[in-house]
Amino acid sequence: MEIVFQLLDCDYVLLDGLPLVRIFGKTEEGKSTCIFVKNYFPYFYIQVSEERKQELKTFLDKKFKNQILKIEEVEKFIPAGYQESKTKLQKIISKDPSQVPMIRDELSNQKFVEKIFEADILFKYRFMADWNLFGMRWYKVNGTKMKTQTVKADYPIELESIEEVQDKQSSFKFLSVDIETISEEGLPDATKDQIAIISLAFEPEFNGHSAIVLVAKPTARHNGDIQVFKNEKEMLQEFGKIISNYDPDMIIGYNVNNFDIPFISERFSQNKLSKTLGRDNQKPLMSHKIAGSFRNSIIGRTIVDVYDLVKETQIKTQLAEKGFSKLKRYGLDDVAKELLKEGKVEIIKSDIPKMWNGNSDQIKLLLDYARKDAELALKLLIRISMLDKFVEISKVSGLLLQDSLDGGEATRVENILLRKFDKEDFVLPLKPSSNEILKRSEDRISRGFKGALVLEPIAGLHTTPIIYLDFKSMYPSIFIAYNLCPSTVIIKPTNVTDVIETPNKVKFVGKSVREGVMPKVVRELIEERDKVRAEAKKTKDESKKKILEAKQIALKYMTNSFYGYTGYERARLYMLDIATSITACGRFLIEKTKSLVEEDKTLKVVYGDTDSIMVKTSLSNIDEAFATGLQLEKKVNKALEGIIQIKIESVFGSLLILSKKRYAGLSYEKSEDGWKEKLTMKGIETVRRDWCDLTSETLRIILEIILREKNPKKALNYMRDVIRKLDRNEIPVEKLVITKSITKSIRAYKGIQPHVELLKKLKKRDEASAPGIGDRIGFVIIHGTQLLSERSEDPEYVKIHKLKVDSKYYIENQILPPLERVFEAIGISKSEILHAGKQLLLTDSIKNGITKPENQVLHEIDGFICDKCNKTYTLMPMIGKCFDCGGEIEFYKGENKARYFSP
Amino acid sequence: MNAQEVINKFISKGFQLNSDSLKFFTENPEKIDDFITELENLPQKPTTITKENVTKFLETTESEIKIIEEFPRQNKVLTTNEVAQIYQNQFDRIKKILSNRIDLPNSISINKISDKLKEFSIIARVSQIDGSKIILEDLTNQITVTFPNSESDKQFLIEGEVAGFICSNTERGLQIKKIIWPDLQFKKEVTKGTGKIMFSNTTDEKLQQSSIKIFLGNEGLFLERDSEIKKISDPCILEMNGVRIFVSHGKILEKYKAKLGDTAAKIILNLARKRIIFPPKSIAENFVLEEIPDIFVVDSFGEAEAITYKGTTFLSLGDPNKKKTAWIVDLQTRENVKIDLN
Repeated sequence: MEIVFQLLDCDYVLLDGLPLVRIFGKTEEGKSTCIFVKNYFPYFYIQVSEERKQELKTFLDKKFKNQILKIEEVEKFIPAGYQESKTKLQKIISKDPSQVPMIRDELSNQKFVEKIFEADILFKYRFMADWNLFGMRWYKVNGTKMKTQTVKADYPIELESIEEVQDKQSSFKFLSVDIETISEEGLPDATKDQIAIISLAFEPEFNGHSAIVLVAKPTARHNGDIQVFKNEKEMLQEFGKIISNYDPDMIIGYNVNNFDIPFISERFSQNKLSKTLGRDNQKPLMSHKIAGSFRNSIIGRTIVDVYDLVKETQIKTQLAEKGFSKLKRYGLDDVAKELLKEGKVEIIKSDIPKMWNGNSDQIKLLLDYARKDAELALKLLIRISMLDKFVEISKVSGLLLQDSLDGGEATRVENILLRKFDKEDFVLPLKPSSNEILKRSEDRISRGFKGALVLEPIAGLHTTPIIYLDFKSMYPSIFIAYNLCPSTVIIKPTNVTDVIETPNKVKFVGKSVREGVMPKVVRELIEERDKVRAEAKKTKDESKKKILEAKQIALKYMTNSFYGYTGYERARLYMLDIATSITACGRFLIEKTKSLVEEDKTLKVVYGDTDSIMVKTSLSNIDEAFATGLQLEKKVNKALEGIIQIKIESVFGSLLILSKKRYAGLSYEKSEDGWKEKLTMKGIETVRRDWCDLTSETLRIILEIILREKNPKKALNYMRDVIRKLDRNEIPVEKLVITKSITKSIRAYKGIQPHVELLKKLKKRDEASAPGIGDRIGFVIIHGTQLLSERSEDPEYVKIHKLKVDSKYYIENQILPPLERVFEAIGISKSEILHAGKQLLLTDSIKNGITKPENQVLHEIDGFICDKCNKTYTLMPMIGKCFDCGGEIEFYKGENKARYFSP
Repeated sequence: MNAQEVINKFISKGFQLNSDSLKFFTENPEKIDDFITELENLPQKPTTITKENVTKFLETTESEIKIIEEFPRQNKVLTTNEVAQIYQNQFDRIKKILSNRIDLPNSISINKISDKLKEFSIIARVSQIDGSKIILEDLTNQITVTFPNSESDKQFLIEGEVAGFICSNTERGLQIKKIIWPDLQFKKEVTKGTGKIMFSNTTDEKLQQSSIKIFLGNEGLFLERDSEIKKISDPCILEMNGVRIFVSHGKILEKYKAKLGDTAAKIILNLARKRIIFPPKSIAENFVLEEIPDIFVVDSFGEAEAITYKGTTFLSLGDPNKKKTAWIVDLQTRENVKIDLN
């Protein structure tokens, strides 16, 4: 029988004590497959001296007679350091993969063992590497159909032959899962609290349903997609049946990894139900907590957490590339509203227990709420195509999709290296032990790890065009140009003459001696990416273009992972010398470029960061600057030929640099239709959760005025205007709302915090409508004499009672801090900015009847004193307020106090 | 310019080159004219130019000393907010350094400390030391802790410094188990440059051995170069041919004698380990050392001393009223030679 399928998962079981590999997949027609492979066994390598080989054989015979199938002598290059010849190693082939760790551990205690290699490679990845199989790629398999009860697959086949074929159209089934639990107090506890509702959304539909809601309560049916059960146990059993019948390839959800799946797993255990929810009838759903997060797996299916994908996509700024603004919050409601323009069903989360025990209308609303959550997660995944990149990462790295989603960069890089090093006859070392990791960390600290070069910027407002030059794939290019690899680094004396020395004096053999494995991989990835980009440009088919786009992103991502890998302490092939060489070369290239650029005295480098530099011209327009940029490109590329290429990215019409990694500018990129203008900002906080909208809005407008109109005075006047309006209560309350989450019960909070104080007030006013744990609470700081936290108030209450906001708070804590830095960079001093603030202080003090002379300046001080409770401090509290009462702090000397000090 | 052309140029001026100097000028032809001018001004001209001639030439022409960072006196009027921000800024910068320390795992902010935590670590400023009680503060709150352990560690703490604290929550309250200072980075390779520089606490005429001198006195710091004298700020960070040098008179260090050492070199070393130079209570910007200079030189009290710690050199000249001393530092070898002028 012959079928063509996409590789989704791989594992093994033991059959009569021998491993049977299983490859799970899906055909283009949507049929599930399971390919069985016999006669593949685990193996690893041992280095023993010639004289002690017999001791090894005797030991293995004695201790593991029934486990070891064969010992072969092979020749391989051992890792770390250039070697001219291979080393003899003993290849140990054993029966049972699960016994390999034990055999390895026993061997590592033996004196005759010099070194052990590759004894900790996961059996499935060992198999896939040896058979050249990659996750998510397509294969044609020939084999015999099998009869088996152990897997659920349309085509269970015993393998005869397999070969890769071109990509086809995937036909995945997605099942979105969302649970609602009822817990009266605090966060739900899976050992005690039950699941009340399981909502499921399907793509494609399941039995004519796009969604089904399972309810663990015998309430009247409201709708065809609602199924009711006597209790939680029956509901969970139905959940299991649906999974079995629908047979999804992906189980998805929002925060499903750290909440829904672990909760479901525990509830199955508590109800003593079988957890075989995968495509295997024996292995259960696995859910383990590791370092604060859960790792979950279901055989033959992939668990996709949309929350993780949103954050990952956000971080890699792909949302911005898709035209979405940066998210302030990652809650499902915020994300769905931003990306899908629709949000959750609006209920107050803490009302759920009440609604569950309420009337039929309340229960209906609750069920609608639950259903919508499952639907939104599914829509997000499909509409924003966030999975594509990870599918492509699997295809490049060879990892299964689940590991591409859950694993880190190191896992992806190592999987490629396992294959490539093996091809070049190298063995890989074991993963480092905890002691080794500690030693590596200490080594890093003692040697110091000098990172990328960030040139000291020329801060201020630059109003003549600035050319932005970018090195193309800097670190990957360095890998290739300097031939950096554990297989090429010279650690022992050698007679080789073709030697490359990096600026930090580490030596590598040249390409004529050996092309390093890592540079080779990097080069192949870059070439592949260039091909894919060229194809994407030519293609008119939108869906194909999307996949090619995802592929080139995956390739870029993988290419750029190698540098981090070499400096990652937990990496098998950790080599600090390589990581430091890369950054040393990078620094050298930036410095070299700077000196080349500045040979022309009309040009000045105003900033440079890792792989880009900004060159200020004295020209008057963007076109001339761009032409100059092209000349610079040519000049630098000629000087650095064979190492790296630089490219002009854009031209800034105006640029405001605050400090390293913090700038904003109006950039112009050349496009077919002319110049594309963009306000570029880096490191300037326009999105922060603890700021009100007025802050981000004011900051953005001020930056626009400064950059577009080059008019700092106008920007200052605008800010003063905002401050004036604040003082006159003319700013809409909505723009002054600060929001924070309620994560625990009131009594669990230590210390006084504004949102908690407001919550106490709201509960007193109306217990029933007060927000609860898990809700976000918005507050405004109003004017008054109490502690700051006690002056937090509900925005609606403020509007209804026409309360005055504490303008001083907003000016000093929300508006001034980010704007001071901007104005300082353009030469407007703090005192000029504070001029407006000082006026307010005076007005304030007159209003409150305080008669202290505001303009007293002390020239010597004994320390600092609270103007409310008179507590003294040797050092000014960093928060600027009294820790005890929240009062304002002043300078003091003897009996005299003042707000100003001149040393 | 090829080797033959270089040879011809020198021969036309009456000089021969040995192989070392020929190699140098073939690689650096732009220096030929200046070198020949220099040679022609010498009272006794060599016939054959050797490596020694070239080295001396480089010392005198290539020595470039620049001021990297100055610390002018604060003259402006400060508000309490500005002072708070100065301290916040210092705190943030040292916190960033400490956050990279692996022996300070997962620090939390003070407002997150609860009874459930038996052991935790924080990054905090020492606000007050009051006997056995220490008040620590960060940007969220402050706490009082005690320090039952090593007296010497507690002795070493100064008000205003920022450090990492590993604490335990015991029946007797919060206690410090261990203090993690930012400390210096270990320099695997000692930074070297070219040329020599002299530091002295006297203007004795016998000190003619170096064309670049820094005088540390009560009146201030002075940089002398080729007989030109310029006043520089105290403290000051200079760079000479790639080597960074911190200089200060250091009078202000005397108040730390009891806590941080008996010589100025030891005290400045210990302040450098805290990454804050000079009394942290001073309200001034930029007293935080993010990048550690290669050499520290201070004067004012105690004995003249040279200490090397993790590849960084600490020199003190000692009390000028008691001993007139100079240090000559050869930047190429990083050797320090003391000259006793008494």
